Amino acid sequence: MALIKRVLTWSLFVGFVSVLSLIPECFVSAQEPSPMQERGQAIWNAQCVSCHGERGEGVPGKYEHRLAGPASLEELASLIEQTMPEDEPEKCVGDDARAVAEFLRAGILEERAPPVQIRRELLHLTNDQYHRAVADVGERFLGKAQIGAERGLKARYFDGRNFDEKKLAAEQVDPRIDFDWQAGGPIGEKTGAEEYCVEWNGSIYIEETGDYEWIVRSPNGYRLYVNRQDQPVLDSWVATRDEPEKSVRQRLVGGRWYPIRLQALKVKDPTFSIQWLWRRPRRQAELIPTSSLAPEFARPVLLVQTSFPADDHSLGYARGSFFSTEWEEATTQAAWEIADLVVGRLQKFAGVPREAADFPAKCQEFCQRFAEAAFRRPLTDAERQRYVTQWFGSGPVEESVRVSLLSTLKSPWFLYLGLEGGKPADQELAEQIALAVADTSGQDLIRESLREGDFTSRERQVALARELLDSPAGRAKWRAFFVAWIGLDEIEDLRKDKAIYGQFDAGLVDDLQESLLRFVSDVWESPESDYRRLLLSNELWVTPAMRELYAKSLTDTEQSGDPPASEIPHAKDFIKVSLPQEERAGLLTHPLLLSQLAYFRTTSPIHRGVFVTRKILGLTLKPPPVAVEPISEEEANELTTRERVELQTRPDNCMSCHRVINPFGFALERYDAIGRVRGEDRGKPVDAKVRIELSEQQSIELTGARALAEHLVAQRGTARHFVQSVLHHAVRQPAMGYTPTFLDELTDFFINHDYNMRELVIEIAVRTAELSQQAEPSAKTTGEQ
Amino acid sequence: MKVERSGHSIDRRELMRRLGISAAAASLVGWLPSLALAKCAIRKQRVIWMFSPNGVVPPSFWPAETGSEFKLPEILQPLEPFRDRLLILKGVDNRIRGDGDDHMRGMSCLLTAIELFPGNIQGGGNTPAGWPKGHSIDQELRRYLQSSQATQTRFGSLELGVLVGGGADVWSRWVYAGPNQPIAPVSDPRELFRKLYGDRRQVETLRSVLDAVRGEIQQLETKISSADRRQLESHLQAIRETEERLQREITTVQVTPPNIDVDVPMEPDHYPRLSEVQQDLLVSALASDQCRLATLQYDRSVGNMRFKFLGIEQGHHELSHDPDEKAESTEKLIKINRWYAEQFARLAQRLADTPEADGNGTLLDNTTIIWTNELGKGNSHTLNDIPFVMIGGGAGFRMGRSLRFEHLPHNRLWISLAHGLGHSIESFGNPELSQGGRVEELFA
Repeated sequence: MALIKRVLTWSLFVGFVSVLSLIPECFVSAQEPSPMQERGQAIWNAQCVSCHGERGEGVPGKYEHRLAGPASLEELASLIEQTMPEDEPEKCVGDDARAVAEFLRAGILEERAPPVQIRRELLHLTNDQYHRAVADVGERFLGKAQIGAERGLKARYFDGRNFDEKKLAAEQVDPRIDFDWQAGGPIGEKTGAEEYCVEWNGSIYIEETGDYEWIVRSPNGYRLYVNRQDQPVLDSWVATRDEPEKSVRQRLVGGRWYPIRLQALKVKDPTFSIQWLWRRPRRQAELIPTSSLAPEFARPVLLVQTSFPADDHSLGYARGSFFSTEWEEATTQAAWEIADLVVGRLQKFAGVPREAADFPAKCQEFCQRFAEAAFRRPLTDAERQRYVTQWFGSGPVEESVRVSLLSTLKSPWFLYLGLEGGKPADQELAEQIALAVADTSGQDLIRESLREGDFTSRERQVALARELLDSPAGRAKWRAFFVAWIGLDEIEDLRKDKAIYGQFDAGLVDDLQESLLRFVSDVWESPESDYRRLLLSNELWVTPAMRELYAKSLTDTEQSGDPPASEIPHAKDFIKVSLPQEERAGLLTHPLLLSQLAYFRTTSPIHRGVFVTRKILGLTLKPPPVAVEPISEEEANELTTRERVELQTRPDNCMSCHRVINPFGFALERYDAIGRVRGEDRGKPVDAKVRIELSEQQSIELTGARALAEHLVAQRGTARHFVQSVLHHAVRQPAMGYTPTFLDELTDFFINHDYNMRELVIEIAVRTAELSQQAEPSAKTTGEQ
Repeated sequence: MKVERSGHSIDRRELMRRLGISAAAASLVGWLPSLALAKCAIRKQRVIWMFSPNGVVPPSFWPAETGSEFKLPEILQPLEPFRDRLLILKGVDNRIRGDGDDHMRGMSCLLTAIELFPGNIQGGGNTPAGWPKGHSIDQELRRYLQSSQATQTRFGSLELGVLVGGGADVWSRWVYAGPNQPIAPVSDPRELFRKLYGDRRQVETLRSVLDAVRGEIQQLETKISSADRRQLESHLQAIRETEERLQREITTVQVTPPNIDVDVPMEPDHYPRLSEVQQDLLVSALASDQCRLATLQYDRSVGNMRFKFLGIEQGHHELSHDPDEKAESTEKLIKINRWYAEQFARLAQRLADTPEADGNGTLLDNTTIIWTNELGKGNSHTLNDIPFVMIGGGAGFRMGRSLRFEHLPHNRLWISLAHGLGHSIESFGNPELSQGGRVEELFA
């Protein structure tokens, strides 16, 4: 019946085809349209125009958005086949769908795609990149201290209240600040119990950029300094009995050590106790773990607390493509902040005291070096005049320095990404690599490296990329990638019904986050850095609390080894366990993800399915076409979750997307709303068998998470989407902005190198730098004359 | 978070919003006195509190007579020119007890009139203490004045110091925004200048920089692909918008920064010069109506300033603990206190010499300056007979008198002051000590 219908439809429109093919403006490309394209156009005019408009511009009341997007031919054909026409998707399948896809690609989509999506744009620094760039410039002047392997803080205990060196009673390394000495002294007979003071010095490691909260609990007097050594972030030297705990927030850039000092005083107080805690982004407050502390002082980091407007996310990843007034003003505020910080310590930066005769000259020199650090190249004579000399004259030197710094920090040479000029080509290449790999200017490494020879050879470039990837900045950048890709930054107050899931509390959520991050880190940093392990691994990092819930089946003999040697800061006892293959398969079965993609009481196959569809396979999904009324509780009570969802999404216009989404979600139904393995749902056995459609003719059947994971890993689309996500995070430009085949080439590389993620990043960095060097961006655009 | 604040507050931003200026520009714009002129129909009322430490020498300080006929003893003689605008109050006590020693309570309960929290700071005696449990009278009045458009000013109040130095504790702070919230005075004339007039210069600076940035961007146009020029244009547009806003502000701002040399070393030998510069900056701030309340703190409680320029080698606090019989020390203390009286007189004179912007009289006509101290007497540490000497017409008190009270709690003095400014509070600080409310005699 369907076949006859199709034949009729086809023959009905044959006539149109011949007419339409005569209209030249339907085609942008100069060549003759192929028969497929003609066919596609015919179908388009018959079945699609009523909702999409003749040129895909959209029709009010129907589909209102302009058709646009960088889909490949296969993706487009597949999408059309599965979802279009909306009310009867089976009306356009197979070759028809492909024909329409070809027509769109050759005609409407090519012509209509807004330039932003398929060419590389001029961008400014994203907010994260801005903060890193400022810290990098600061590092040039403030220096970079070496932090050794020892952990903990250097503690110095003094008799009396004045930190008098002559009364130093003891010096040692304390693992953390958690002391309760009641009436006695901290080190027994070494200090007098009446009056003493303590100073802890050292540094703290910050992994992720964000707002941190410092909390000190103590009834005694104390002062806490973080990063800035002239101003405490918490000053409670005059203690007041009614406030046992104080806290303050501070924004810090990830991937760095920050100098800290905590001073505490016991005078006339009956007792002495002190605890230092932190609250990291998205976590609970906890005592600062030993592994995050070091006894050496790091150098202070140049940081601003000014808030910037959010980055443009219109393409699905953060990029600085929006030059708004708010952004412009934020750059001014931040520049003032930096200028004030620098001028506040101008003598140090100039290198001579204020009274020195050459103080003004030294300040000018400093301003020049500052601009050179910010632009990452020497200034031309004209630039020196514009950025430094012209501001110095009659007024006070401090003001001149302020203005000079302001003009430097607002200059496009600092704010824009990838402006060319003034640098030798290979240095520029090196910098682009550094930016792609670690969002850093990489100056130290580059300069060192340059001494050994230039960057023209690929080996040198790859070596540089590798070194940067292993640096703290590199680690921080790719940690942020995973956080965003998996959606960890969207975890807000994950809560479940305590009546059913009693053990699921905020502390457990913290553990789950840490567990997931360790897992990802593990895979990322392993020599093979194999993406497939992310989806297929049966290993899980657990704490005792987690074991209870998620690894009950294990006996003691099945545990494996010690935590990896890398710098993962967490004090709780995590151990890595291997679970039965059917129980765990990578990311998709990690309890955190499963909990996140679930409701208060029940699972959500739809959310889980959407995650797989969008984040793993990279398919585009429109939002639901109609507002959906959930099925009532009474009706639902009899059904398993799967049955209920099937019922809910049965209508055709839902099925256009849900035929893709649902199977993925159902395959994960063996995990409850907090990610525990379960055999039953509402008293009935869980059905995790699903049928996945690969194309019109082909479909496969699989059951459960592991089979699903294996299926996903086998799809080229999975690899391709991961590669694209990595590319976006690395360079913030679309793949098509380089060459039309770039994404496919990279995907091939990825697959041929055993899905090695780190090698992928290095390859992307080196190749995009190469491609940028080869020609002006405008030559790379397609579809624009 | 309970740490010091510089006194800048959300109020100003709120104000800017109400006046239709965006919050972002607010940070760049100096205060607009032209608007202040517009609300000048009602007379402005101002109060300045001036502090000096370590008590006075009572026989040489307090007039023997009461009423409007009185002789000024040695210490107060510099105030002679202001006799008919003077109000001297003897018998006002700081009756706050509880934690903290006399200096601590003398200092931190002076303007707050409320007890200190128990704490960890131990003075010379008594129990250790923390910060005061409430805010100070100047901040009370600040909130009151800032709450009305007619009396709002850019800062509300200014907290100034002359060589206050050191860290923040109950000996170095007397102004509090609330319990546990000391406000740090600005002792550095450079910093004060920037606070008062810096914004204006910032606007000029920013315009030059934006100009330079625009030039830079335009130069890039030739090097960039045509498609990317759209981005440059957005950036230029954003800059244009900022510049237009700055332009609007500059044409309305009329404050000319005063020509004062603020480059004075922050050292005891320069104490007199620092006093002059801080006072001049204060007067200019009042004249341009950037605030109507101010505290001017010389040194700190237990301060040991060396008055070498008066030929005195020992520190102030040291001297203040010598017994009355030691005439040599008494003489020196009189000299020191007389010097402070001279500073007080100088401030009064500057105010008298400065006409109001609307032409109605001088600043002194509408300002009451109050000179006070932490202790009644240095060596006994008494908190009775706290020195209170006032000049000027800001508070509606009847001036030109020497008055005597019987152990009047100073809470009631502050209540009366508030009433004088139109703020009818019934209690301030410790409620028991506030009983009786305002003191009619001050007004009658």
